[in-house]
Amino acid sequence: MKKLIVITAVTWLALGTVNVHALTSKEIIEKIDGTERVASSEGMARQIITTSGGKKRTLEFKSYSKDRNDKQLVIYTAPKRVKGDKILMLNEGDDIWFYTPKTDRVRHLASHARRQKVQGSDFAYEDLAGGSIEEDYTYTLLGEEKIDGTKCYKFELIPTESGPHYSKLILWADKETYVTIRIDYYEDGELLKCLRCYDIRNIDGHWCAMKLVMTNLQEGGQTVMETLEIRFDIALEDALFSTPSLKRR
Amino acid sequence: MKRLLFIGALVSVGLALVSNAQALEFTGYFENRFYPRELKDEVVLQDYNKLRLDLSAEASENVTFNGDYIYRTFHGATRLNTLDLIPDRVVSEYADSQGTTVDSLRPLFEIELDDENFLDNAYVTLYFEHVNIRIGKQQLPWGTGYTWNPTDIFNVKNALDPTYEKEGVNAFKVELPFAIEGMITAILGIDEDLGSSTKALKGKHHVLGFDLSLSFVEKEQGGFDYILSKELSERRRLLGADFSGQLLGLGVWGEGAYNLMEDSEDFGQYLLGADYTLESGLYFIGEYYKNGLGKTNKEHYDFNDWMRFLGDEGENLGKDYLFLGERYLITELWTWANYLVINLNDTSGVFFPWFDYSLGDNTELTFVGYVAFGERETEFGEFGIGGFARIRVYF
Repeated sequence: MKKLIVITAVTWLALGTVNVHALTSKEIIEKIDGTERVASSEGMARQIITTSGGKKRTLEFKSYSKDRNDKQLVIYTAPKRVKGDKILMLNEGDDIWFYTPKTDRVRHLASHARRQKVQGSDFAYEDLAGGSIEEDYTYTLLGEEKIDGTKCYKFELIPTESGPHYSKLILWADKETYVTIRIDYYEDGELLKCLRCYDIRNIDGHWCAMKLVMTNLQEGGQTVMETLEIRFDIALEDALFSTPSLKRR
Repeated sequence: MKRLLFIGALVSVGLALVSNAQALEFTGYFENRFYPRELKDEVVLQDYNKLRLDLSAEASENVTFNGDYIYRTFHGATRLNTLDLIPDRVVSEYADSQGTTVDSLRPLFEIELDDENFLDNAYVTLYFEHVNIRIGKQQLPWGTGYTWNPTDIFNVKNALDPTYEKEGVNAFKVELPFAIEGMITAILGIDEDLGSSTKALKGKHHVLGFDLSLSFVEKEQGGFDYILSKELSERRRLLGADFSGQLLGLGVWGEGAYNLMEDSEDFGQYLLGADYTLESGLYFIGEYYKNGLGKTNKEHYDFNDWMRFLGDEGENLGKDYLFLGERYLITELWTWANYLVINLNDTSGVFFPWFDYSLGDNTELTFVGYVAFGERETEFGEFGIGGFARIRVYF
């Protein structure tokens, strides 16, 4: 699905990609999609939610993805309040299941639930689900701009029917690595949220942002997502991404 | 006695596993609930302290033990009388039918909330390549409904707090996963003998975007007929089906159960539900519940119906119910919700606003109020107003 942020809080790019001249906007978008949709990944991340009142809540989770983010699994490890809760997203986030060990119950969430905030953070399910820009948006290359000194392509993305509920996104991607550097999310013409991606590293041959900061400009909250560990292109069984597996340890 | 031996054996197995455990973890929570409410024109105060200790151990790659122990102390109005929750006319008629007076009946319906401690869950799970086996007192969630689960005969839900954890069920469960999303589950409840033990079989699969299940449950249904003053026991066979998925952008789910009773009349119970989230994040949920055991006229609610409603069975009095709710995340820490349960037959209901607040990473605060409405002698009409404040601290 639909978004440009992978649950593992990373974006990536095949090693050795070199910016070439006169790329079409379609070719650029394909390269940006390529950075975000790796074969598989396994990682650990920390999410620090800062409310508009300045209070902080910290969550930690393990994450797994497969088939270019078509399948994603999140397992919360801290705090104790949510430990063992699991979120399974299949079909690029069109199908979401939530499991809690307290009742051993698996609940199927319809796709409208993608708009809901995940564990009170500033990320909605649809922000975290996989997907491609090609399929989920119509896009227009607006030009080139520098973000914190990094030369970026600037795109306007309008969600298609299969895309998220936002009315518009403005995306900046690094011209060298094609890693997403910033996304502005608009709702009804107003800027709702802003995502900034920092600490870009090359891991296992993939470029990824180790730190994502989502700021809700209308409500005033902020969520920082830090990748603590990440591995790419590992063998993960399909069975891991199934509802029966949610009930396993 | 057999049940005690069963639990004892389980704990022994669990402790044996723990002694060799590679990963052993103690967690739990403390919970306090303060519950003021109106009862017979008086304000009654109840409070409990609950300590839950959880233990989990991974004995090996394929063997785990999980258990929790609950200690709970009650305070305030710990002595209640069930007859105070039943309309006076129904109680009087019942007393007359028994050839006695209400005053002489009252001591028989006293409830004393004694402090309690018990093994809530304790089970060993064995994971094999094509089968999972879980033995012990365990959670057995059943069905897709939110407020009611017609196919679930293992648990009783409280419509005012349907997601609150349930006490475990002593059972032997075998799960056979198939394909990616399929699962066959067989359950044997542990009772005095095989004949009286509950048996359940369920097949589940994900087809065309829907989770679909078919189930069969057979149990020995116990009870008490207060009017005839006799114990009841009969074979109950439940044929059930449930689904959850998406239709026209709405989340939809449903459950149906047809109960074949050995002695009493067969009955069906059915539920349909839907939910939706607006772009603003405002979430709506609704359910319609058809209760084949219920009655359409409040005049026909008899003493047995009320006791079945207030007792362990938790069966509603009416035939048709509506549950409506909305929920909104006001801030990252505050969730506000409003829910409504209506008995469509006697037009009584309960409205209950609900606030959750995250006081810390491991501390939850919940405030719930309720206002009942309806004529006298209706299902909810005499419940008055009340609510509870609950704090839970995880460790």
